[in-house]
Amino acid sequence: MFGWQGKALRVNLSNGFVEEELISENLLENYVGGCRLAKEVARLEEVSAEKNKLIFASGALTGTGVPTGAFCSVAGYVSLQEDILCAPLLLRFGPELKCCGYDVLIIEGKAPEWCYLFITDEEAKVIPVAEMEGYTPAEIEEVIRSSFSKWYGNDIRIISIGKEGEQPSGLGGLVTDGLLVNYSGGLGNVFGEKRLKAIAVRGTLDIKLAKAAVFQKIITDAIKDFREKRNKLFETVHTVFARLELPLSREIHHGEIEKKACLACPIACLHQREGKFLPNFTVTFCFSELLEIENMEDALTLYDLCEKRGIDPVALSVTGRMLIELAKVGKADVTLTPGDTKQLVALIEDESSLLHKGGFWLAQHYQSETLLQDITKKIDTTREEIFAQIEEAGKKKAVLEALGLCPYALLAFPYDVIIKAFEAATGKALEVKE
Amino acid sequence: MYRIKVDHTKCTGCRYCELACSLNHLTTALNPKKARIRVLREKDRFFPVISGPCTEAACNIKIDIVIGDRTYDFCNLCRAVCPYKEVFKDPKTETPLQCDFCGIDAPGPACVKWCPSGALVLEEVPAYY
Repeated sequence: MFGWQGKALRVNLSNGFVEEELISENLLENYVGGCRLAKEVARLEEVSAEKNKLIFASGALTGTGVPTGAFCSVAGYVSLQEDILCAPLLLRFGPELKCCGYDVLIIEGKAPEWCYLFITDEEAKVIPVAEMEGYTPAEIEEVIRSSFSKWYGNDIRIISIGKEGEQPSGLGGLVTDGLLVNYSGGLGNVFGEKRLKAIAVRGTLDIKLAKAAVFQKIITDAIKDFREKRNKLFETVHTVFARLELPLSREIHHGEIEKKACLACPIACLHQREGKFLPNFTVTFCFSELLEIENMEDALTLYDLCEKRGIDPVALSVTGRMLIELAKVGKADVTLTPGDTKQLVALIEDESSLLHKGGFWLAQHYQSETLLQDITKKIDTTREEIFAQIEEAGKKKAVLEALGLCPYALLAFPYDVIIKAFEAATGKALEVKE
Repeated sequence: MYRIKVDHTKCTGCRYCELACSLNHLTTALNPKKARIRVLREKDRFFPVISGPCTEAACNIKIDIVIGDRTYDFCNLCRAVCPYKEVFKDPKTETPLQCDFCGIDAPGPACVKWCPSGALVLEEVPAYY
């Protein structure tokens, strides 16, 4: 099999049993990767509240060098939302898992004590780490990496949860190599339910290509083209973001910042200051438009707290806005003033506060489903704005997501390049179904 | 003669160079761990390091290197394939991997061709350099 590795790894945390399974070629051809594949595997595995599993799925192009091909999707049943949720993981976790020999990872059962899963080439171990309870994601990463030599440890990619994921909450998100995973609210709690503190991967296996020479030429030409048009592209992207008018974003991304990229991403939309990731566009939008935070210091303090506790900043903003609106109409007995970070921090630190229930629970409990829909629609509409100039953006984004690519690729690369690269990498024609 | 000029300030850590190098040498597959250029991280900065000569002994000295206003541990940026450093070796066979410039296929070796940020540039320098 080319592009994919064609294998899944199943780990049972209850008994530490590890099993390797072949994935049907038919399944991979119909659900090439991303959340579509993760959700399909979840359906086949009959994932539910009683039979909860974590599913990780990479795409056919993840880790191949196709621009922005770094995504890996993680899905699981989130009890407080009564549904299977799926979030894309950025940076390098997906490609590294693929280099371990797996396209799909299925984690089932519940560990008798806190543990982390360590996956290497066609091998996995469940390592008990009871002392890691309460550790922040940064501390977990440090502990795991420092248990190996410096060079080996630097190549390990990690997903972990913080304190928020350890308790029943709707906000518990994931952190991958220091970066908070947006839209992962609740998935961190699935880790917590399983007493899984982290997953560490390091692989050294090849990712085989069907028509390597053709693939190499496609990518070489695409990057050459990107380099020639880079300034114009960044200007276009800048104009798109400027049109959305986010003063907080301009403030945060000003000054001494460093651009960081996911694997094989020429766009490099992530930013760091002094080694710490800064809130990205979606988070900045959520903080300023939903929580009405206008001050950069406050936004960074809140983001820092999210990172320490492992809170999904998008879920936090949506839930915060829900509480603001519910308090306004006297439905919820809570004090949360828009823009008041101190009140928000106090609610985060109070583990019994309504904030930890998450937006979906609040919507159901206070019969305010429409309010939740309006809030999430606001985020989606703004995200759509970014792709407003692209023809058939919805369809193209869905295809990219299924392939394990970041939709931002559409801003810098022609859609045809991605399709041709898929064919060269896998040796199969891509058929897009509605 | 040619040299690859590395501007670490432009490196975003996308690791396209590792993918390009491995594909060029493996010819049918990608594998960053088998690349002859590795993006090493030192104090929150990414440094593309091209593999250099293989040595049979590790250094017993510690050298700091100052770039701009920052001081770095030179070992982290050293190109040598040494027993201490677990990079630039085939992960299975531990055979040292050395950069061969991909045979100088102008306008650049694979890593230079695939570097989107301009951190790697092929430069012609006088032969005596």
